[in-house]
Amino acid sequence: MTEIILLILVVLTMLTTYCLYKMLDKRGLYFSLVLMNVITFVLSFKISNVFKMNINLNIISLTQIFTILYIFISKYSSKENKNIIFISLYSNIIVSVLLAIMNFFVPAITETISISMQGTFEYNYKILIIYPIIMALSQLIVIKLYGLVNKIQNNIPICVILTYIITALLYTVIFYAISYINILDIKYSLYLGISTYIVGLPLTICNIPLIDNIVNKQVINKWKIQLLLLQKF
Amino acid sequence: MKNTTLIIAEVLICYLSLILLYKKYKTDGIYVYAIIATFISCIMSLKQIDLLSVNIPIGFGTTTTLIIAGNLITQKKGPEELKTYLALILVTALLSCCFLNLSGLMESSEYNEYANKSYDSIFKYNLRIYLALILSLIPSIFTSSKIYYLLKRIQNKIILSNIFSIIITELLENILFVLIAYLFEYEVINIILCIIFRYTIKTIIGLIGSIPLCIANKIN
Repeated sequence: MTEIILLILVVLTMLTTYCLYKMLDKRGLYFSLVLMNVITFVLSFKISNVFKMNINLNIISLTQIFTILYIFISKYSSKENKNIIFISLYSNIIVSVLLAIMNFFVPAITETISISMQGTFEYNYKILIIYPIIMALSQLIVIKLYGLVNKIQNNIPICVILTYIITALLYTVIFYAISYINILDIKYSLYLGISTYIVGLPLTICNIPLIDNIVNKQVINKWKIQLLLLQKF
Repeated sequence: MKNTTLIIAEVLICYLSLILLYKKYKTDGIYVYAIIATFISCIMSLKQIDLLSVNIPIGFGTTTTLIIAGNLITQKKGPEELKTYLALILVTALLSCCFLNLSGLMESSEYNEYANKSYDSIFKYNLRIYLALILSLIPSIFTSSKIYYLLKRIQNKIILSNIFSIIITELLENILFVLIAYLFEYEVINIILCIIFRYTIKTIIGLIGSIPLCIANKIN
């Protein structure tokens, strides 16, 4: 059951990015990026048992964030990169502050959800603080690294996998080392980080056809326009 | 008193972020804000506070600013642009509903078990509230924009258009939300009181929203 839900969620993230891109082009990618950022934020609070491994569920949408970044870098000018990082940072800070405010409301006596909300958001308050920072950092690293790898090897699958391997490793080390201090033993935090990192690799590979489809279609369209212009002349 | 202070803080943050995002990214900034506010509303509306012995769901600031943001789009770009805004809110709400519900259904790990169980109990089986949020927000934003545009055409005054549109649409939004979310769950008198209190608070927030609307209108 859990595995099926995981697959459904992965397909949903891919479909959202593709549909928003088809609907609104570059703006759609921006909106998809913000959407994935806020979803990743809340999913960071849940650890699930999938394929007999303990994984943090944020990996589902985190790989999608990286995918959107790869598409941005490959398709649009480098001027957009700064905007991407800032828009993600602003969104994550707003979500973090609003979640914190929500926690402080004095709940109704008969209501039970607020206790669970304290158990999720207040108990893991480190995630509320660290997530916006680490997300901005990892997005910056993805942008720099993907551009660098792309210059050496102009092959989308290799660039995507190499960038994921390095960036996600850094993300894993920082995020899991800080988020679960005093909650989990450092050994278990490390296990959790490694298993999440491993699950993220096939998810990244699953996203390669999507990147290929969006990036290469533009190239084909450019060729078509050039051919049409030539025919006119 | 603490809750009042927190409602003020929430409203301030919502309006400030709306203005900041609009100033920086123009219409796209409003869309980004819509995504954030819709997602947060989905979580906030699950929590309830006590007001004169009546349970009222929170998220006053986030849901009201979504209507104000809709009015801002109508003011700047006309009612045609509202389709994209509504589509984006619908996509965000549906996706949040899927992700939060389904992630709550996934088997929890033994690591950090307390937090995982808490997470599950928040987001599992809350489809009714998500549905109430979607079915109340979309029609009220649409109606608000229509009224705002109509009043703007008759008399080009931002504050007046905003006040009238907010008074009418907040009533619609509150009735729809409370009835869909809590009908047959609470007593009728509690439901009526919940509508009245929620309407009062949200209308005040909406009326204050005329100030950020005017500020945003001056930004070019």
